[in-house]
Amino acid sequence: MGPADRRSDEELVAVCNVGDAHEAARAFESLYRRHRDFVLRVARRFTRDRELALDALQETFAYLLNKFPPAGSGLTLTARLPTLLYPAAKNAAITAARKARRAAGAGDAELDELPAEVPSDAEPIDAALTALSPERREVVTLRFVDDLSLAEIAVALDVPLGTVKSRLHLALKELREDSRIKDLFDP
Amino acid sequence: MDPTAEQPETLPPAIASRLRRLDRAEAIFDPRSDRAVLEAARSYFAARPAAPARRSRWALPLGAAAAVLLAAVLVRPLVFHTPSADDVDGSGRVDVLDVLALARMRAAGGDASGITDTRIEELAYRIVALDSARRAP
Amino acid sequence: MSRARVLHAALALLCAAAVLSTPAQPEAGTFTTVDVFVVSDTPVAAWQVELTERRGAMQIVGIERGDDSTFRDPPFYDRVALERSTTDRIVLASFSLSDAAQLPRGKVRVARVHVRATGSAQPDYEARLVAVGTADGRPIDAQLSLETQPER
Repeated sequence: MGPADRRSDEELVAVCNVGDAHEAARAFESLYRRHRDFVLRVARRFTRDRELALDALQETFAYLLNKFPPAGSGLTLTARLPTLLYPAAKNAAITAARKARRAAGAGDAELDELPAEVPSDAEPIDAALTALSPERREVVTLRFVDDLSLAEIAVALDVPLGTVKSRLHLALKELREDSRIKDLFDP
Repeated sequence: MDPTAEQPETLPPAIASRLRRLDRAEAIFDPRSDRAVLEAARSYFAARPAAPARRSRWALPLGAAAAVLLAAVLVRPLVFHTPSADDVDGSGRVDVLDVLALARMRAAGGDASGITDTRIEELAYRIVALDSARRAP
Repeated sequence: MSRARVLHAALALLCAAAVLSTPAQPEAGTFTTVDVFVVSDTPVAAWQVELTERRGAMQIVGIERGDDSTFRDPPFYDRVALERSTTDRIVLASFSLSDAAQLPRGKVRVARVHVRATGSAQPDYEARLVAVGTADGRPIDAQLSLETQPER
């Protein structure tokens, strides 16, 4: 492994679009190494199974790969790459989890929500965060863990900006009013 | 008035920090997945036509200069022969350690090293060539 | 510099002596895999191996890289060799720019060669370690081993 690639995502995508075989592969590798952990974290939010998360990782980057020629027509980044990768990773993880549940004989239960685990001795913060609805927890995570802007979150979730603002507002309100952690908020 | 516009979008540091720690609780390191993705990418892009060689505006005058040099070589070969050009590490042999030396110089100096990836690959292919005509000396 | 050359020449002799041959295994005409292993106590950053079939009766049908992820690309080899219906040898080489701490040591499979034995005689492979070195380019002492098995 050589030094980290300093090119921007836009530059790397441009090389993937039009570069020769070797340069395109190198640029794609840089994109992979730069965003691999993000994609894996997203996948883990929707399936706690390590192997399924790794399957989702591969599916997500296969999806990205096929955006470029020869199969794809090329990719133009209109937002940061994580915004594009998030829904792909989420869908890949949910799909993988669904297939696994069906294979295990489980019913076709709705899986579009983050698996919530709240042990009885959970930290107050953990319990409060887990108590949020999946949609609100998702927005909070994208905003404060992945540092996406509200506009980027709207693109990633394919919902109106107003919906993102509303979910975030309600999530913060809920946390602020949660007796377990309200003291952490400024008065 | 939109109430969401009045509330700050901040999360107390303790909560944000905990949320980040929870999200990153378990690092997954799986070289097999990395290899699978990167191999797929190499295969995918390998189907792409190789980039055509760029024709430089200097090609014609350089070609003429090359012809002059070639003539000079044929007349006085010892003057222009550089048998040690590929012996990067000065070991007296040309092998993969010279390729490694070139690659390390490129990694350390980047474009400023004057060493291109093409040069590294060309030397690599020369050391493995089966025909003496294509092999590194 | 001259000291390095003496050392390198001595190592070249050592490598030349480390010629290894395997007993013939599968029948001629069958597909086999030939796994090439480099064995070194010192982390390996670069290696070069020449694989020969003494009767000149092999057809190279594929080459894969080895196990370690620090050698991320398949080894370099002469593509012309794969275009020939029969060849007596192939030279493989690879290098990694990873830090020494990440490089492999011990017995490491560095390449897998997919071969179709041609001719009527059973194949007789021989491998020679041409060069092997550390992250800073020093040649080192190492051993070579081959393992062949029929393709499944």
